[in-house]
Amino acid sequence: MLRPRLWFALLFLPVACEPDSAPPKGTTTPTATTGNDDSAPVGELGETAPENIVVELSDEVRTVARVSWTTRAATSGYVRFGENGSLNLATNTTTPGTEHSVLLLGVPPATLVELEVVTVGDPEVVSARQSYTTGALPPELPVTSTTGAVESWVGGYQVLPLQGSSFAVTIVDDQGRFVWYDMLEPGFNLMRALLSADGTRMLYCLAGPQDNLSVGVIRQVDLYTGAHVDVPFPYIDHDFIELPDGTWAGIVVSETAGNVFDRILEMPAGGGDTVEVWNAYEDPVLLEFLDTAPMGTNFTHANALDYDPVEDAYYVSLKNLGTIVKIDRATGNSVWHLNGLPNSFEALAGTPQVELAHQFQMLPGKVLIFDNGPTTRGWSQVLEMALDEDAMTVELLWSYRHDPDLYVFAKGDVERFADGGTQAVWSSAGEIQNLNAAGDLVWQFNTSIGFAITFVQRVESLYGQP
Amino acid sequence: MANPDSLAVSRPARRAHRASLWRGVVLGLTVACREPVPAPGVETTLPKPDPSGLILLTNLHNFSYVGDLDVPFYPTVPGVDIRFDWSTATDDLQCHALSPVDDIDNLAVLALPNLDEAGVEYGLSNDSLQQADMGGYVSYAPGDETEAWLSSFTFFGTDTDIETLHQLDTGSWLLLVTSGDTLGVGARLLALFTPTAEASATEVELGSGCGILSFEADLEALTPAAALVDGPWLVDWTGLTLDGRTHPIEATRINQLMVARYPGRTIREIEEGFLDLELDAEELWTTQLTGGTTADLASLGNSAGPFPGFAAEGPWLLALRCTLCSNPAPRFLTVLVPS
Repeated sequence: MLRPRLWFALLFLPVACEPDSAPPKGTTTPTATTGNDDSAPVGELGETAPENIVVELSDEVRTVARVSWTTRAATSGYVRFGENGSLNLATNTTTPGTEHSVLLLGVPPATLVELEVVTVGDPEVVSARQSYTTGALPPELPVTSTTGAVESWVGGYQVLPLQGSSFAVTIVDDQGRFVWYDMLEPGFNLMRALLSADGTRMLYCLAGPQDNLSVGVIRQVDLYTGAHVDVPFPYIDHDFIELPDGTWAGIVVSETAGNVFDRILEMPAGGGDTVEVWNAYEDPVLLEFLDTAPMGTNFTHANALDYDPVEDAYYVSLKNLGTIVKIDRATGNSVWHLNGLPNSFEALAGTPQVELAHQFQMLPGKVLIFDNGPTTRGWSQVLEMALDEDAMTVELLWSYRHDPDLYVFAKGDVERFADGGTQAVWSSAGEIQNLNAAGDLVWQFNTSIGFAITFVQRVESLYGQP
Repeated sequence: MANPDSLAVSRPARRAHRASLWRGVVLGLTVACREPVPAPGVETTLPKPDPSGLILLTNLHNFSYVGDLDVPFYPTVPGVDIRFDWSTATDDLQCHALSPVDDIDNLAVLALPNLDEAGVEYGLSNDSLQQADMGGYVSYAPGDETEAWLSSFTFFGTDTDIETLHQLDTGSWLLLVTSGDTLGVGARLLALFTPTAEASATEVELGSGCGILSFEADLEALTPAAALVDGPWLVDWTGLTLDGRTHPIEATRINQLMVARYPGRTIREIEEGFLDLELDAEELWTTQLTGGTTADLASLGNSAGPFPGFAAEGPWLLALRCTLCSNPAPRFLTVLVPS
């Protein structure tokens, strides 16, 4: 992506001690710590007091600021910050040293943000409270609307890739407000975006155009500058994940003797040689259905990928066969096929046929599926099914349909929250719904026309996942 | 989602309501209509510019308008391929000349399952359509052709067999014929084609676009804003909350500031040719905005160079626009009085 020269708005902030912002018990506020060595307190506290504090608002992502400061003695520190006078957010703690830098993430545009720099210790040393205002959003982003209130992920965020009138990766907070964005050039197929598990960068799965998947990449994006590095991942399509050790795993479209099918390839984080983990063309159960698609078209059409570190197993959704495959990562062998043509399970009475599904979530003894359904049916739904891997049975537990009916003709995502609530992402409709454990609609997010959502990643923190 | 209240109102009733609104505007004009130049010897009430160059824009400075869309409606045979033909269309929605070959870059079909004809028109007029209103979207780049078949349309290159989905009880189907390929932007022609049991038509022939859009603007009742002739000119619309329809303004969507001058024309004449606002300007300067609620007019420019100031003859207009919105009307438009 072409990016204009990066300009930083250097905000040398004035000292602004707030009379009613007394630090918590056990902390000490230096009399002055900002950009004035002469006024720094002397003695032990002065050695660890934050000095030369500079706040730089990114001109590329104008909701993100970088705070840097120095200490005379090697120490660690962090910044607590927030909007409307609250300091409810906090950065990670810096590594021990005398020069420190952190990003302030998670605040909406055009918002007054207050902050304090805190040196870790006993007692803590806290800077004077300071403030800055975040910038405006690019006009190319959609107008969004929300109704109700989030109940299941208060204080969290969602990574939302947007596709349509313009292409962007965004992060919204629990009020549906954009807190991070990256406008993309059209031409790539934006399939999936992830905040890296360590919270240091964004990762995008950018498949090539359908007629040239060879140019697919994993894009690594700096959260502050927006600068990116593309790592070639030829023929990657639809979905990729980041394993707990940082390894990337992606769905890759392949061809043998005119037959098109999918594989799962792993790549070391940041790039390197790929390793094949699974190959649909070597799955004897799937090969029985090779002739269900015309020669030259993908007979599996894998479109969603998940990984279970406990079982060291992959799960992949094969849209054209209506099935989810469990794959033993160590051997690359298929363990079972759920639903669809190659079903390994007995469907108990009342269990519907799943067709053209997209994202899913494996749960203990259950699976949650976004079932797009055929166009002739004309509506999509969320299904929750019980799996008995001993008896090899599958049974419908719960389903949810939009009111009025909504058909999602591309993508679709679903998640069960820890409190029993459920998120349904009606991707091509640009809508996200949250239901509580009772199945009642409690929150809805919509985009203006022209903006579809692809797959969603929900994160508790923008500073890395536990 | 379109305003549900509006959907409950029949089209004649809505039109009567609009007519009533417009009568009110016209009545207001009869007493407010005057040129922004005082007669000799009469104490002036013209605004004076802030010596600092600050030009504060508020709702009082904004124009008002009412607009109406009357999209041609074609009942079509369900479940068959539909042919679109725009070869005879020589003018567009704004009654501007149109070349069916050179000016048309993209055709888009939107399936809107839960909206009727009036709901679609309301949503387009008010920029209130949501993605969730849309049950399907396909497009087609015609190149030098002036006809297209529904079966040729794809979803970003993926064939969805859209022609088989054009069935009874699938709501309204909207055809957008556009310059450029940004969804919902640059519409030159519009048509609604709805699968209907009694229909016999399998073709949608788009003729003149003139008459689809009617637009009545009032620039005379607004409070003009003042600007220094030679600058500086820091425009600040932080306090602006309403657009010309008195709807809440979406400040984040404003992406262009335009200044234009119209020597030899009265404000009323500009108003009457409102759809030609850009064509009628003697000179016009723009600057792209990347967000925020302030701009420096020194950043304006056109092909001849940077904005030279307000020394030339007016009247002068300043507009804040959303070029990415389906409704092309400026979000804000005012008369600038230099001194």
